[in-house]
Amino acid sequence: MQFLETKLEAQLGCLTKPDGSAKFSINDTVQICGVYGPGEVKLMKEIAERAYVNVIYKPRVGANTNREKVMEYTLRSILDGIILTSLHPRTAINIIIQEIQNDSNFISCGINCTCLALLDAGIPLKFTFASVRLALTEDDNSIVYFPDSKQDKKIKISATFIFDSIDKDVISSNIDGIFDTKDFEYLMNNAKQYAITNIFPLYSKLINEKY
Amino acid sequence: MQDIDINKATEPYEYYLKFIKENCRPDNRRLSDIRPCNVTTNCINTVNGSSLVKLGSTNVICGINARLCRPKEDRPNKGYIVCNVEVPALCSSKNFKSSTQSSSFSQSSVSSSTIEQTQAMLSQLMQDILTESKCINEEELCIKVGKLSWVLFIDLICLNNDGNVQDACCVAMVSALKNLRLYQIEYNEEEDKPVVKYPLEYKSLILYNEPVLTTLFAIEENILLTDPNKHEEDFMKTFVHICTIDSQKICLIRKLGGFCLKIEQLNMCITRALDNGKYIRENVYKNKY
Repeated sequence: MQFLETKLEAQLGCLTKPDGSAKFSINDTVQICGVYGPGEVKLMKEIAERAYVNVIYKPRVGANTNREKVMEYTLRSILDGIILTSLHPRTAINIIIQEIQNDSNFISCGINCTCLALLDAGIPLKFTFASVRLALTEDDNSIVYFPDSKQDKKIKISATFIFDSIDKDVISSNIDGIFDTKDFEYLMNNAKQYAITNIFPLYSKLINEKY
Repeated sequence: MQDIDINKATEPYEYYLKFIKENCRPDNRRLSDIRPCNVTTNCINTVNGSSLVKLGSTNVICGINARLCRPKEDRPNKGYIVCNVEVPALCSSKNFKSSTQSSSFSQSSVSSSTIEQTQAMLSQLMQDILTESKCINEEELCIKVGKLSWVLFIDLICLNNDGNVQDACCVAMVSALKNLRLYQIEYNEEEDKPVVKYPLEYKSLILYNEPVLTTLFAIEENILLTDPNKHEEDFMKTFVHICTIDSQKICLIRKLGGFCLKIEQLNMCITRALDNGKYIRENVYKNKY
């Protein structure tokens, strides 16, 4: 198992206009997230018992393609179950993620960034969540955490997991490649360890510094 | 008898839970059963391969158009495949075309989204199934390296949405690929043009494995069910897509949002998906094309 030097950096409150904002970088992938909420919602989108969660993902260049829409759908369906939406009925929570640099870890980076921005905005959540992306290489079956685009060409299974902070269970998983149940459990356990040792402590440190 | 009808309209979730507690569902299935699945191939004359799938009442039609093109610069020895899924307004009363209208009638927060996002999600899912399962070798689509190759446009249209469009789309796509017939084409070097060989000779594509997508969903903490229909999609709290390629290998797991699943539940999902894959391969894909 290889623990390549992955550089994780984060910063809270980098934008002044939104209610909450955060910047998160994983090696060369950098994203900024801004959260507005709970606020006004259009009549069409108003829901009587819950808040309406709206996610917008902006790529660095070009117009919105399928890739962005899939990312928005993924994030929205995850956040709808985590944000305590029944506390703010008939409002909207708007989450905007801007991609600054992309080195193929954009899903994980976006999710971690959103969690920090939601914490910064003070929106009530059931638990915090962290995303880890790891891969099994073709040559020597070793694990690489957050592979970049050069390493992407030599991997045979790629997995992205999202864990919650209380029970450390899997909220979401996204696995590509040909594998069986043993590989799946191996990847999941390693990802869980990585999240517990690296990402959740980073969140605690940032929140402690702010408050 | 009248009490039952009233409950179904006023408290649909509690009515549904009464069935689940007895380990069955209102449409007479067990928790792990899928709806009856039928495939008809060769139903469209104007395309190279087609299929129509009925998974219960969910209808999906698939047409594959093969066109000639110049291969992409960075992959000169491979053809390519483009998947597109459409969920038009005719298939369900909730699928309105207007993107400003959200499905606020449904209780489930996991399954509501705009039409564009649903279509993008399904198209990406089908494309990923083809890429990750490696069921088609794209080098076989190339006729002349760097000059001429086939491009396959796979169009899936949902004609009736009774839940679980993605499973039906996967079966439709794989059946249409088995049904696909390409002409034999030769490349004329001097004139730089493709030449169709007469009399027409057909060749089919070799499928190296047959991917089967299974969707499982959960409504309460410990209860996992397979193959949601439209009513059940309103109640589901979380769902998992698992694509299997043979009796042991999996090529794709997607689990989005809702609440967490423990590792034992995920393992049960994988076992069910493998069994379902075996069942579909033996009964549905084995038909002669």
